Amino acid sequence: MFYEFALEHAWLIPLLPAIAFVVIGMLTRSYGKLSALIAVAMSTISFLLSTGVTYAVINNGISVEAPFVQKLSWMHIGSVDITMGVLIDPLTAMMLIVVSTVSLLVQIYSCGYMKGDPGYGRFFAFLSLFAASMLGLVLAVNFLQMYVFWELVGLCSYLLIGFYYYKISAREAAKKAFMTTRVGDFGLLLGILLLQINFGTLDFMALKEIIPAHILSAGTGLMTLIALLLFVGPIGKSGQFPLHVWLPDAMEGPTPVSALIHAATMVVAGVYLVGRAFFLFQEIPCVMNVIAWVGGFTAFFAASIAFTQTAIKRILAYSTISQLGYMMLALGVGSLTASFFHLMTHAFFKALLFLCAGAVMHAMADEANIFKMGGLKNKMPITFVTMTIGVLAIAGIPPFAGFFSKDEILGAAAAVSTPLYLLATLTAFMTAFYMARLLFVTFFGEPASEESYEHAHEASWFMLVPLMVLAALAVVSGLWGHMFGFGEWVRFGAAHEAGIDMFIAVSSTILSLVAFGVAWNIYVTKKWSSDTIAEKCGILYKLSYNKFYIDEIYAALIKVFVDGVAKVFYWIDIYVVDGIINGLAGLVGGISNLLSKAEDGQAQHYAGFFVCGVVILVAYSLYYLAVLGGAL
Amino acid sequence: MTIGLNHCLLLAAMLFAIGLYGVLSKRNIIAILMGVELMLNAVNINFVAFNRFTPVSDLTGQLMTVFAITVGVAEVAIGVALAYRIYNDRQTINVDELDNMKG
Amino acid sequence: MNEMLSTLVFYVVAMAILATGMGVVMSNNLVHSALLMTACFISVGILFIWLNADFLGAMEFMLYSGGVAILVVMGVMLTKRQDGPPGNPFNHRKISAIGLVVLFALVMGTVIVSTPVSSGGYISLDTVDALAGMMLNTYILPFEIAATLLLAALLGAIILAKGDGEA
Repeated sequence: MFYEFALEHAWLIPLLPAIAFVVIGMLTRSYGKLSALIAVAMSTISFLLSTGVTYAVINNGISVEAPFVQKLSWMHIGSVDITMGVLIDPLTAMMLIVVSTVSLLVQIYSCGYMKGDPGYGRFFAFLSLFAASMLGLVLAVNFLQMYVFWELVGLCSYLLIGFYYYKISAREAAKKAFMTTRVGDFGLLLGILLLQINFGTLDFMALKEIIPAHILSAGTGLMTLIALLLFVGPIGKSGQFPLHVWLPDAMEGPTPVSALIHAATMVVAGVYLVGRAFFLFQEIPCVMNVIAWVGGFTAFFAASIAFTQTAIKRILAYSTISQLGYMMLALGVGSLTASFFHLMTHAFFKALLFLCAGAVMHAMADEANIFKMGGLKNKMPITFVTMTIGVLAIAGIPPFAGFFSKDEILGAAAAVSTPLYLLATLTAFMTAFYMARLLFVTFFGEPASEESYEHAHEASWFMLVPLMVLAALAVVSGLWGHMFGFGEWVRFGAAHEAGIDMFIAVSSTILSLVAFGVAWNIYVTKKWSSDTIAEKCGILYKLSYNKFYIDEIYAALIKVFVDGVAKVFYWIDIYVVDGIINGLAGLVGGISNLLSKAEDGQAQHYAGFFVCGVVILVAYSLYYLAVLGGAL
Repeated sequence: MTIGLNHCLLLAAMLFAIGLYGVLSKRNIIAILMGVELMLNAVNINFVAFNRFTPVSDLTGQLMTVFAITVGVAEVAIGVALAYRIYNDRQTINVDELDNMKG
Repeated sequence: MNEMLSTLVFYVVAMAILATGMGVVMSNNLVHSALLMTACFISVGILFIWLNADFLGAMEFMLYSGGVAILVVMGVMLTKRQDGPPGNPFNHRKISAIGLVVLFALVMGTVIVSTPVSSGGYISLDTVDALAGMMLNTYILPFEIAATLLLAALLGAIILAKGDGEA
């Protein structure tokens, strides 16, 4: 049976794109079309395998409690036994579907989007490696394997963000992404090492047995530390405050890459890690609290920045941060179901939004500022419709996907903490507003520039088909997940509550609609002037526009601390280390200079010294014999 | 007082010292060569005197002198050739000016 | 009487050696130095004969006061300056050299005086025969090596004196 084969050979899912990477990188890089074909073919196969795995999971009744595990020993170092393998449970299956679907669609889209780029083949090689890393991460059977793929994902993001390496801004953005996530990775690594030291294993299933017992006997002290350190990794990877700064800059990469990073591969890795290690986090309430508040604050914070940004991809980037904050918030209030439900729906509609943005920018000759667009709905009808679906989905309008998942998060938050619920609801309102702003400014109104408007055109079918598929998914995935009981299927402990809390659902929908109305009045009918509002808000507008000066604060902090420390070390290096080295060198040099004076080339001097030596030796012999009375 | 070994050795030591003085204090390379010859002769005197005044049973000391004289003659030949060569190259045989090996 | 005469001869010869030696070093004229050196070698030859080493004395006359002296004079002539007689100046280390040399002589003298000497002696009546026997029997190898050395030295001297490029 196909699904049995898929389950037994799940390791092929990440391996096939990895093979595509190797083949393209080594052989076919200079043949763009062939490279794209290889990449898409491999992705298609791994997508099919993923569906097979998912079917097998449902058919064989594989659950979170009793996952399907294949392991083989990787290496022994002393008593440490390291294994690699695949762990398949409904969580994995869901992630496999999401990642392989989105990466497949993004690759198809890239065939059109990257047309004519000199790095066409290279781009597909990196995309394949990116997909392979993320699929491997999803299948990881222990923390170490996850960490390996986690780093690979980081490497791929570096390569792809810096894809236009001849642009300084792209290089800087790639560096920034790499360094910032590295800060988080360091915490994650420390956490993993502490786990290994204290429990002697990194295997998820083994740790699942050990940790609750450990907490019962030894308390939560050590585990709190480990959990916090582990959570630092997701903070960096998933762009949570305060390590979110790299994500907006990651816009420097080609748009399909942004879609991939934001929707399926890079940033959800952090959420997935927390979900995978949820058995660990849920035992420690205070860490859960931290996660919830970091998530909630990030959601609100990023939404408030997105309010005032003008670059289309930047707005989407902040909305991603905001939505990731939602997911973390859901995890923090203990609802794995809501978080992963939202992860799935978000993957679809965010990929959709990014790909639409890419299509728009493609049409507008890479113009990113939304206020230089306008009126595109007539020129690009398909893009307009799909983008509208994406916006409605993220704004949480029923029956689009975002409504159901966001509603579950709000419900879960309300059940645990009212402040968090209010924060999340406010964020939902803001999200609806800025997404509406994006949509209205771009597609409605008068064209800002006649010339580029004239040139605007609908994208090629390579790009439109993925848009339509994703739009369909953005419509149905929430409904489907709701009706068939996403949580029940995945069974993350608590079964999915089929009913909708009417108060929460209605209030959030109304708020979203109000936000749409406000945006309509401001940006389409221009009843209210956006400039006056901005002026009235004064400092708040400025703060938001400048992203709360986080980058500047970091720069200043780095200047103070790093430069200060560097100055101290510089001083030590120059005066102490160099002093010692130079002193030694000077000493040797001085002595050599002194000795080389003796080496004056005058043979007679040498002879004189020679005779001196003879005299001294003979005189000493005499002294020794005659005075000391010794015997030779 | 009978002349013995010590007298000869003292004489040789003085001749050696004179030759050494020539080697150390002369500028002319030929003069330095002469000093070296004096020192060699002092050594030869030692050999012969030891052979004459110590209880030995053959002429090994004198034989050594023969070899020493051979080496000395060879040395003079080379030395003069060197001096000539240096003079040809540099128009001087003043050793003070020959300090190419200066450190 | 014979003893007295022998002693007298030794002192005279010794004086001659030292005086001519001093002359070699002190003379300002290189040609004078060379002549005095020949005289010194003759004196040393006489001393050898006095020491019952008649073959060596003959060798000294022939090789040193003959060969070496001629070689040195040739050297003097070949390296002669165009102006005036070949000078034989001291360098600026004259004083310190005197000090060093005196010190050396004192130390050596002390060594000689303070070392106990075993009495006795050996006089060969036919040194040529004895030396020839030793040289061609026991010491044949050093003899051959000395011969090779002489040959090599001669070749070396020729090549040195010719200079490069004049094969």
